[in-house]
Amino acid sequence: MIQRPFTVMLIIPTGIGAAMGGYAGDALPVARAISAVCDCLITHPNVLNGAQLYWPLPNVWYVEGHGLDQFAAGNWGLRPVHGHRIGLLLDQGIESDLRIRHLQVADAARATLGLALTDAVVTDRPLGVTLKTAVSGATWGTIEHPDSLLRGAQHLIEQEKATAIAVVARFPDNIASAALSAYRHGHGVDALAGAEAVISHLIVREFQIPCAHAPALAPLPLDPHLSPRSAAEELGYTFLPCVLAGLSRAPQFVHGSSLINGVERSAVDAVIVPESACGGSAILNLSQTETTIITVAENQTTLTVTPDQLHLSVMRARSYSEAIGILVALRQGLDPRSLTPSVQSVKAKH
Amino acid sequence: MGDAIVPDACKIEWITLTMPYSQPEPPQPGWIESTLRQWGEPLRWAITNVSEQGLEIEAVVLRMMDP
Repeated sequence: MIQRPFTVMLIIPTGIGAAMGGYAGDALPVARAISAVCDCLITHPNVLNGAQLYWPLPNVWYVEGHGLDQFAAGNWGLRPVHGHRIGLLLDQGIESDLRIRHLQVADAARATLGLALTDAVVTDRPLGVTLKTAVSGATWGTIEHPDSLLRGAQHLIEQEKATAIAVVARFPDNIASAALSAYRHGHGVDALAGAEAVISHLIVREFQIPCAHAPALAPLPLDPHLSPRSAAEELGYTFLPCVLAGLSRAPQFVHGSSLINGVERSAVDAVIVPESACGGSAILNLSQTETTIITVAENQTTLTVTPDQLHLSVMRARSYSEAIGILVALRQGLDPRSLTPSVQSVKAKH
Repeated sequence: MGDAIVPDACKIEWITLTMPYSQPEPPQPGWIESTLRQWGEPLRWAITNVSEQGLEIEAVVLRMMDP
């Protein structure tokens, strides 16, 4: 009997201080566990990126956030690939030694991982990243020269024939900031996340190819009290290895007449999201489909936008372990409520 | 592939707004995005709070500047 693939989407928005997934790839174990109970897991770089650390998962699709939103809206589809020719786009604002470090990551990706990379392109202006925190506690940021970013990406695509883009932008070093200290100790919100999302969103929106970002930062002084959740980002000189690994097999975006050649949102059986972060574009779009929305209560964030406030019909899990149990039931065609001590009688309605 | 590269005269901006909403069903993303387009092309947005005034939205938009 031919079975329909069981496809799950995992969303943990970046820059909202998620207790799980708001640090250095600390939701990767969640992704690994979910991938074991589904045929295809679609998730975004924030979940899978652990700087120097990553984990190859053959049935996991690495999909940038804007692309994920377009997919959930039904505008784009996803088509698997065997591999990509990754173009590395470096911010002119990165100082010489740090630039060399990033090029050496690219060299290592070629020699040790066998990835296909183009020659790197340097932007024609420093991108000028600035960071801010919103009233909600979410972080955001902007770049001074978005045009320079896009010109560099265009050059990689048209001249170097890149089919995926890895961007490295120079971010401000705020070594003494309280926010950074909190982040390193496993509290607070990733101050870089919002600006990182803007950078990749710009490229994906304009060129509709896979893209991910790694910030370029000066090394931090040793902290003996570093949180395990933040530790992966302090093992080396760059955040780039996980980005190159993730992009290497990221699905292509398809749309219009090519949509039939890709996986569409109707294939998504379930989506998992923190209970307090239900106000994003992807969840609201998927709420209009047959996709089962599963919320996870213990993954708290800085937000307080719950399913009840938005009139969303969801299944509630207290933990990711419970959510995984719900997925197993759904995959078997079971009503998860039948796995509880009390089962309600079927009523006849007139 | 995109048709045009963002010209120099553009900015990425963060905006916040409150949209009154009292419907008994989930808000439509298209309605939110069409409202955001008054300020620019939305790159990223989310409902960050629900209050008596309505849906509090934070968004990053790409705004073309006047030459």
